Amino acid sequence: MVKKGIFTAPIRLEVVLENEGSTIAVKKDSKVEKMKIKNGELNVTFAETSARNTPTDLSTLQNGENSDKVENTNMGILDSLRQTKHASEKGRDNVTPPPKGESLAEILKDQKKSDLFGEMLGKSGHEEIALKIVEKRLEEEDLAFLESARQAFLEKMARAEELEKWVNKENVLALAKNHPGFQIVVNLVGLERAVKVIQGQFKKLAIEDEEAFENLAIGIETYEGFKGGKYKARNEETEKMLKERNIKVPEYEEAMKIKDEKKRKKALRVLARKSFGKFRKAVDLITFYRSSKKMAGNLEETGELNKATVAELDNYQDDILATLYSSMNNQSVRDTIASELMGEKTGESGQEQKVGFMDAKKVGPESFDEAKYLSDWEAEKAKTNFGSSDPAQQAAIRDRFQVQQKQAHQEQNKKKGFWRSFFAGLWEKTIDDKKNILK
Amino acid sequence: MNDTFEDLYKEFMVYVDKDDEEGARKFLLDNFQKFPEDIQDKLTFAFFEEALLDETKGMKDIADMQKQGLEALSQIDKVKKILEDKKKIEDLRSNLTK
Repeated sequence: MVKKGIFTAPIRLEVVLENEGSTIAVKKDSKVEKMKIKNGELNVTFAETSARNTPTDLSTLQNGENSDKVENTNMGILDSLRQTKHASEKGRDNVTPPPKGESLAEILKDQKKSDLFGEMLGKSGHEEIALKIVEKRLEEEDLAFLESARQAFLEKMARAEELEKWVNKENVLALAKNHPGFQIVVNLVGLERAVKVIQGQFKKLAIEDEEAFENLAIGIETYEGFKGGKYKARNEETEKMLKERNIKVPEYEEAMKIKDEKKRKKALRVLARKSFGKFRKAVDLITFYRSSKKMAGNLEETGELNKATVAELDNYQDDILATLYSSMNNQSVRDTIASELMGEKTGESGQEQKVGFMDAKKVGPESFDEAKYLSDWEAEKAKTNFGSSDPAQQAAIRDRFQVQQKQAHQEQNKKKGFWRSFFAGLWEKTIDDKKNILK
Repeated sequence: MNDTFEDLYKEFMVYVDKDDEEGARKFLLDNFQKFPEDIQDKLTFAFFEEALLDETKGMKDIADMQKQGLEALSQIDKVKKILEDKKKIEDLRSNLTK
């Protein structure tokens, strides 16, 4: 059997070198050893001139001594290769500082991390490298890329761990207190388990759905900012001012009396949207005059503002107060205002960015197309030489295919929201269950 | 999907097909423990996500909006005071010239 390239499998695999010039690289005690056929004989040379590196080391490896160590460093050869490459490029001794954080070998040794790392490669369009890892045919040229991928991966994992830490009993309870649905769920599963389940999702999300991950990260940062008093102070200031002026907004108070929840929310949203429009106009006008220094002390000299009567200013004031009042008093009104504000930034209504209830089912199990799934699988098999792969490689190819299918589904359904999350979760369950039909 | 889950899903879809969001949400919560564990986990996370994003939705934007509003009100107060003073002066002047 003759194979080219770098063997990343344990050296105890039987490898017979038949051609002149064939080489294999073996990791042993974090050092690289090379073997070469020359004049029909196997010569062993060493990248490092260490007295400990003798042919005996090789025989002990082949005989299975130290085999645990070798097997545990299945991908450790990559790190050794990196050292060799680094040494030859720099032209100095080959002692490279160990990489910061977990090495690639350590990442690949851990099944969960290895899966996520493979997923990250696939998602960034480097399926070929992911496949090379699966098929254990990495080449030296792949190392630089893998090093940058390792760093990116570790950054994502570190970020996910930060969010995991935030999810503790205290914060989960505080959120549950203000969200009846979440409160019920926490009561049903128990606080401890709820914390564990939520924490367990972040690393996966960091790789699988960066947008959703970022939204949560922003949410947590905002929450912390509020808790830290950054936004809370403004809220309190507004509340104080409204109390001092004894503000009442009859339209809101009327709407609040509507018993039917759906109708009440709708009425409040309509009012909030209308009120926010007026607020925006009033604030923009006042800000314009202020910024053009036509107000305050210079007022008498300005022709324009002299036209503004106290009554007109009272109208502006009422519009602003109504919106400030609503921003304090009702969550669905706050939601509407937040959506309008978001819409100002994005050019579309915040509500539209969410997947509605009816739309969400389009990303659910009904959208699973088994015929397409199977035809994609046939194409993948042909592309990866599935038939001639060993069972472990076949399992890895199957896993990778599943990941690709999920990614494609996510790409088509980027919108967010509770129902999207739920239906997409059901879709993933469907495809997980279908894995056993991949022959 | 196993049989139990299939049945639950069918029941759940009745609400979806009727566009009854509240009913569907209630169904999920009422039957939460009947769902397989992996679905329970997904639901737990989906509810957490919603609770967090609802809680923080627009928090910063609203705080900024409040700041703009408070500043604008303060400017209006100033302007109103100047206008009122001006009016008082004009009234006084006109009274004096009467």
